[in-house]
Amino acid sequence: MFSRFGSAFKNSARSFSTSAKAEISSNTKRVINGAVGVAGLTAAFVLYEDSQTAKAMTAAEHGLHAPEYDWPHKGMFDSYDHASIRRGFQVYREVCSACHSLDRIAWRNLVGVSHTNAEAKAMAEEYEYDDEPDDQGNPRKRPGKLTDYIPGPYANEEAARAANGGALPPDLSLVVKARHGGCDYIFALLTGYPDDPPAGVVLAPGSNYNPYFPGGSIAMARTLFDDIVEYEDGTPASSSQMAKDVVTFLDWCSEPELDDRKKLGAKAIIILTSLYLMAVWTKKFKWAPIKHRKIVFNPPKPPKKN
Amino acid sequence: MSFYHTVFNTVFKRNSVFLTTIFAGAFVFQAVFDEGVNKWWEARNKGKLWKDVKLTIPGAGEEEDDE
Amino acid sequence: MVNYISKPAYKAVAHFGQITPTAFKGYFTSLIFWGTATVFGLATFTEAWPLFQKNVYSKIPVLGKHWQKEVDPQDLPI
Repeated sequence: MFSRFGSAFKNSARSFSTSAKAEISSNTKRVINGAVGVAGLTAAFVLYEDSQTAKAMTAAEHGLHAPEYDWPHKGMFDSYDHASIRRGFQVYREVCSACHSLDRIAWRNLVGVSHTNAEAKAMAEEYEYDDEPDDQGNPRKRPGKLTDYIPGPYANEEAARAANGGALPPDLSLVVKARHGGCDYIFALLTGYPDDPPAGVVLAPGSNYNPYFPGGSIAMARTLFDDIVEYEDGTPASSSQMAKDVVTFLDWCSEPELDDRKKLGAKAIIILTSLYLMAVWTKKFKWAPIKHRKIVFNPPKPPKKN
Repeated sequence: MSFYHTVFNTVFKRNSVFLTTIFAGAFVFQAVFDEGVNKWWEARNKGKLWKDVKLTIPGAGEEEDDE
Repeated sequence: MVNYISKPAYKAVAHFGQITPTAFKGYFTSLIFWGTATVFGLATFTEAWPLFQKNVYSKIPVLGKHWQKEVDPQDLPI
């Protein structure tokens, strides 16, 4: 059978090359027509079946896109607003830290960024950390030091889940990097809780409606209300102000090198741009005589005819 | 034309002077450039940097700024 | 009798190794220039070295403040 296919193919090939009359047996023709028909019908059926279900998520399932905000550190050469980082840490400490940990930030990281050495030390000493055991092997405690990490609210993940109805409050150290939309998304989420969910939305017990959260149903309730924090610098603690400050603080947590990076970037851009321009100039300088030369061919004069 | 002669005679004529110019230029340039960009950065982000914020913290800075 | 001179009267020029005063005078200017070049070359490559920053570069008259690092102890996490 295959040999017959082969010969049919050979014949057709020859027919192209020599434009001779094709000699395909009627049986071969029938087999080919049948195969084409079966393949076409199968493809049509598969496509039809696939079209019966839509896989795309709705806008609600994706979550609303956060608007783009003008952060003080948004521009290419803009540093963080460190006053905002300082206020944001206060918001984290007084509000967020009830449920969210900040595992990757140590007290020493705050020194020279948002707090002085003395302030950070005083805050660290408010917490107890495990010390070396005494001579009898009994565990001991000591006040915190600058090198200690900021303690989380729960001992472990299971405790966190148990205290929050099964939902785990994510660690906030890198949360700005870990969410699509970064700062904009977290700000929109924190300030985007409507008073009531829209009509027709059914929420599981213990969950809240937030249009910016993918799926709309989030375990965290609205936490930032006007004046739940009193800023030491007199900034009015509106909920959007607190959200801006805490998001700035969390952005610093996930990207503490931003200030240095942008400053170094500016230097690199200046140097590399100058080097590039110098390279262009040198190239032109070296190539100018070659590019501008004129090659002239003076043919020898033909001998005069007598 | 005489400018190029002056430059040639003062910088390029002796290899040792040429090399000195390169190294002295590199040494001075990096310090000046670094200082310059830092100044510009601090002027551009004035009020946002920690060194400015520190002054507004009661009891932490040398003097209390009213900003 | 004729006094023959059997050999020239050699006299050693004052020298240090192979270097004589005349040769040294000839090389003197060059050596000064190359010495300066070497100093600046070393300076370029030791610029980021704290030992040199503290003891040498921070004492340069105008430029020196680039290496003078005065950090408020309150800003250091120690």
